[in-house]
Amino acid sequence: MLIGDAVLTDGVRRQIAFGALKTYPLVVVVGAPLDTVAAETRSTILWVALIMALVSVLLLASRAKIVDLLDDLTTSHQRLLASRDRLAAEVEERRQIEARLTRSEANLLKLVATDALTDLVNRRHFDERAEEEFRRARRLDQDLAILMADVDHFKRINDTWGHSTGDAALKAVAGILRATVRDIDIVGRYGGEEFAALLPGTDRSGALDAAERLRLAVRELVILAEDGAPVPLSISVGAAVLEAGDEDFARTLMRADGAMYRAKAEGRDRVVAAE
Amino acid sequence: MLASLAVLWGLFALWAYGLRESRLHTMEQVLDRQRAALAEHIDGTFTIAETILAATNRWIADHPERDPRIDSDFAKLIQDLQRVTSPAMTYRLVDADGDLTLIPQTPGAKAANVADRDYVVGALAKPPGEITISAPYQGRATGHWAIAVSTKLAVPSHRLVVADIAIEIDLFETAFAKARIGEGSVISLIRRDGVLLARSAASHVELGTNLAQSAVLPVACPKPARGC
Repeated sequence: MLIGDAVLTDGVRRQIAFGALKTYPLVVVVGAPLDTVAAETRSTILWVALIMALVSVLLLASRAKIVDLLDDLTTSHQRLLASRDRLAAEVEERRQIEARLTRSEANLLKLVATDALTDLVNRRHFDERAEEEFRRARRLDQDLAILMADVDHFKRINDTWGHSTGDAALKAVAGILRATVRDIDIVGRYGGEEFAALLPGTDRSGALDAAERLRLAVRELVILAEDGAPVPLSISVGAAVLEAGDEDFARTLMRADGAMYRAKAEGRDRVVAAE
Repeated sequence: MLASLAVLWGLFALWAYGLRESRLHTMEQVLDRQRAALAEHIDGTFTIAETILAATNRWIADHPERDPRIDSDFAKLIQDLQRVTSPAMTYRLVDADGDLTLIPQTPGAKAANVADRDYVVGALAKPPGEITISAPYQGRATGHWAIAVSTKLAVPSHRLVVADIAIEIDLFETAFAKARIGEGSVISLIRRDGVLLARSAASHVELGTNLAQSAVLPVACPKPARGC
């Protein structure tokens, strides 16, 4: 079999298939006009070409508008990117401000809650924490003890060696208090030379032991006045534990305070347990 | 944008070329299926003619004393053979003078001398048993357009020298008409030397045209042989 196109007798160009017979000197030729063969193809191609031409013309005619639109889109995109960057910068700045505010707030809270001289919690904050511990001890039916300590003859220290020495004495006692109690205990400066320690989960015996350790540690403390003279220090300590009849923490505190005054009255430098 | 349009049109050109090639290929396949079917049909027709010639040649050789032109047994043999073939195929004998006799003899048929016909000249020039296929001609006895398949008798008998089968062109044209593929399609039967033997939808004037200059023949039939 052979395939091709040819013009035989009538001048029409045809696509043909031709081949010789095997046993006779004859050739069979079958042909179809190329025009007929291509007509449908041409029609399809022309339709598609027409549509493409139309699309091309429309695209070319709208070219300027499309370019403008693309420019607008590009500009808008760039503006959006710039806005996004500005926004990100503002968010970061805001975050930093918030972090600074948070730190300032924490510092402020600390300042509000802390005694400037001794760096212990002040009375107001001590009372708030004491109320919380009181309610928890009540809720969980746990022990709670409080120690009230007062520096003996503090007025005489001030009068003899000056206020700076008095301040140094208060700082030293505060340091002893902080070092003697546990991490969970709360120690605060309650008045001029008066300190308080709140001992959660501590019974009467444990409170007295802690008070005695504190008293001994203060007595062994040696500070020097500005003139180099040693300044004797001691404290009187009153200890009280939470009783069943205590309606609020003030009651317990009052008992510890009363015990502390009894220690003063009985000669100072001692520990007295509340009745 | 212009570059995009150029690319788009380039792709379109590729698609169009592919579409055209695909459709041409499909048409090629259709054409070749038709060609193969027709080749088988035509080959069968000529094989039948050659078989009849071989059979009658043997009969004549085996019965040298009997004149096949008037022998009833021979006439019956031809009729039997024709019964299984087509009435469009006619058996004839030609004597040394070129006078033609139809077998079986047909009352009213015109006497004709065919000494100048290519199928007589060709057959006499070849050894007995080899066939000659004539160019199309209009029968002097029947008036029909036909192709003759002739052979020289192995044993001349009663001055008879050539036997031939006339195959009417209509036989091919009917088959071609059935196999045509749409408007404008053509089917042609061409002899190796380029003579157009039959063609669908052709006027008989075109028959016998020599297409030897066509590019088809040297390719389809590159060497002279009994077949191609």
